Amino acid sequence: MARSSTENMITLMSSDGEEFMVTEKVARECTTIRNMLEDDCVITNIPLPNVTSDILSMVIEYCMEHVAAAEKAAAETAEKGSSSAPAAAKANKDLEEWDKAFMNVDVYTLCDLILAANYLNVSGLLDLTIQTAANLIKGKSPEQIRKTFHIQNDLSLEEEEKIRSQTPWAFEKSE
Amino acid sequence: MGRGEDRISILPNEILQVILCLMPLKYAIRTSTLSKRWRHLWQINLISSTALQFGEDFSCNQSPKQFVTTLDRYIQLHGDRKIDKLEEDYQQEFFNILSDFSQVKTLTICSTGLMNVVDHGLEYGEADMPLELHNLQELQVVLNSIREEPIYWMFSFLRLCPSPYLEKLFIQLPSNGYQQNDQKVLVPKEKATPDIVFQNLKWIKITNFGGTALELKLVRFLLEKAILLESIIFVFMNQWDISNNSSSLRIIEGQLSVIQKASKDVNIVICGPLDHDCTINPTHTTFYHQERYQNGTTLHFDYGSTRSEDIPLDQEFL
Repeated sequence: MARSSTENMITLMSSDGEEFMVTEKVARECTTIRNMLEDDCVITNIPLPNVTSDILSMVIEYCMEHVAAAEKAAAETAEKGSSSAPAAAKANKDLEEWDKAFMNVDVYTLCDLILAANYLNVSGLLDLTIQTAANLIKGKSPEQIRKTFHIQNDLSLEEEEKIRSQTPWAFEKSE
Repeated sequence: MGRGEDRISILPNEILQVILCLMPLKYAIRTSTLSKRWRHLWQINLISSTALQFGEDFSCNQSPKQFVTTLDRYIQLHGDRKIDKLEEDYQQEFFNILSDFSQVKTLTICSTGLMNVVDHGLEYGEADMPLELHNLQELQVVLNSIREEPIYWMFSFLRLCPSPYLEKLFIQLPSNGYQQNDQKVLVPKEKATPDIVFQNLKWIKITNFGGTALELKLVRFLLEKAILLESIIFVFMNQWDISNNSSSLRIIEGQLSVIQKASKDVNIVICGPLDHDCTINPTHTTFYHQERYQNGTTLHFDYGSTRSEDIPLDQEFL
């Protein structure tokens, strides 16, 4: 078992100059970084000019949690020879709960997380954030969506009416 | 401090489109009135999507005519792209769907779709019948097997869903000929050919024609009922027969010539798969067709995903 002690550490630097030391395994959760590491294996310091420190720390938190969950599952499988289905289901559920709690952020942060997950190419986080954003839009009236995301309406009344009249059914309240 | 700023609108289009893809079309459309930035996002999203999802509201809150117009628009936006899946969130019987679509101008229907309509007709009696498709101008029937049943289903379909303005009829027989499948088969109760008249039918095109007795029966029926027929085109399966004027071809020609024709000047064209005239072709050229067939007794309709031989479609289908 080649574990921890020999593991490479990578320094990630946020746009505002803060440095984050993470294990290579965690860094590899970001496909963008994984590609950099594969292109140049001696690289240890990666500047990320598009990600601020508060967002980067959240992305790292997400990656660490998911790496830990995967390691735990792998260790259990190795121990028992086979993974027990109920235990795996519970672990999945726990991780889902964790994700859900992790998404308890304001919409501004959510959007920044989407941008960061997209830039760093963390597919799990991108799916999670995008789904969260979709859930915030789904089921709302246009007015409620604007309010949620602080969107300024720059359409004239006539324009808005025209758009609505093209698909009146979409704007009818039914739930 | 910026927390009250509009952050979502600065996300790239691609991301916003993915977000809009994750919700029913209705909610995606609502975003078109958020601001100029959002005006067309949902449309691009629709174009890139190969699945159209419509909820119950979609069909409930508009008249059949509006329904057709709206769907027509979406499908036009789709252009030539294939729609893998047209999904109605609500579960309904195939027949009900068809009655929702009674305004269609162009319809493509497969064996299972025919069966469902006939099944409904037999099961629920004539209460809902006949269902007149009074805008239908072009009908394409795609048969997946050439056994007796589908032919009778087709007869029954034509009786149950009269289409007085039908001008073009395309019948696509299976290219692999006599393929057997072990699906549940509804044995037709009525075996007689229906007593109907095609008042406006001008063109018939039958592809993968093999000249079997059953196929000839179908042809006989059509020729006897189409009083204004101008042309009937048979596209043979085998080019060799055509190129070599084989004896089997001559036999079929002979059989065709003796059939009584309601229309005097009907032009019979026989050609092979390689030389057939492409000017008369069905509007629907690609359609979703899945062999899988669930044996359930309930006829839940779900375009594309489970039982979707039912209605393949694209373009102007609705």
